[in-house]
Amino acid sequence: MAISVGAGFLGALLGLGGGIIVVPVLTLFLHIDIRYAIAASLISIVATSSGAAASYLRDHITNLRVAVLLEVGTVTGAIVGFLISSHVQSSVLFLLFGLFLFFSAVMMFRKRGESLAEVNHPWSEKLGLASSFPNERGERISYQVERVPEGLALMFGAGLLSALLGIGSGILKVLAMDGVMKLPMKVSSATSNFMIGVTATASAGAYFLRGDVRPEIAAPVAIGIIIGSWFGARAMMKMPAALIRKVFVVVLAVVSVQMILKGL
Amino acid sequence: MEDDLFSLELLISRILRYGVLASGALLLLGWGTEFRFRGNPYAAFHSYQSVPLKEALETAMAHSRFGLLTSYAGLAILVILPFTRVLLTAFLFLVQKDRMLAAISFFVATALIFSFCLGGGS
Repeated sequence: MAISVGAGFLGALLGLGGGIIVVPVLTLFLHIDIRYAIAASLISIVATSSGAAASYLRDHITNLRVAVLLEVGTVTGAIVGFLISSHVQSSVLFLLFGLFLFFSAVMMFRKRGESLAEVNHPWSEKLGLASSFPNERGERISYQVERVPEGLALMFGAGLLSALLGIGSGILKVLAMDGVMKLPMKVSSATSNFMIGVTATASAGAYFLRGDVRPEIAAPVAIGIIIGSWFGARAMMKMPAALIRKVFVVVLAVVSVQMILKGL
Repeated sequence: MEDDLFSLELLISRILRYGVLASGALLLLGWGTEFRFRGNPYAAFHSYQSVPLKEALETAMAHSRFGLLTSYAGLAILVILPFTRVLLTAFLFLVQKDRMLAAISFFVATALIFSFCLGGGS
């Protein structure tokens, strides 16, 4: 439960679900079968996101319209992920995901400063996705949204991996919004966290009804995550964007090595 | 208009946060009463065994394991919370006459139900 508190804090801070910490701990240290670990992790992710969502909305960082649109991609991806979960060798996915994360960490490390969208995509125009958010001094910074279809496609992949690996796929969500759609980092992080609950519940609900969510495992993990995410969401507004990015790169690198080793 | 949307969504989120707390309380109660004094609680989960939820609930009822049933109730609340949010957000967009985003939200809600049914049927 103590580990779950830490996972929840870090998860809420970075716009991750905490699953990337929960699944390895449950499988490697407690030797729980990965299918139970994945199901328990998804439940805890639902708790993280549902518990912290109000905090992000209150700060007016989350882009609700972007979240709703991108949920189409993540939820359909999660359904496909659940359907193929019993047919795919997870070691292959661990390996691919690990390599992808490593690549992302390198790319993010090399990136200097934020690059914001210069043009508004027609879909963004039609759905009113462009918005503004407050910076550290309370000034409102306006932004636009680029390459919406590409972002949506990446979200499908995020949903699929979420269901398969029991992670929130916050890393992919943030990359899609920050890297592809060119949303500000803080907006990406908050919107990702806001969406993670809906993505995770698509497969968590399916695993729950299939009987894979066992309360003996899921209860302590979820309780720990609820407590941790409560503190994490409060710490986020006090941290500057550059620091969030640095922490994020370290997490990416550590997780990538972990994933690759698991896949080999 | 946008501020209305935000404040109503914030209200939904605050209500749902109580849902998370209620679920957490049920999980804590169930976990505390049921699983605390049973040796290594994870020994049974080192290998996977498929037991559908319906069957697990029937077994728990038959053995009067109320702690386990309480935990299941907590888990069910957690799973339903994001679905409730999507549904309420859809109505919110509908009230705001933003039909496109309302339709998108309803689609997401329907997809969630579909996913749950897939789990129940497998």
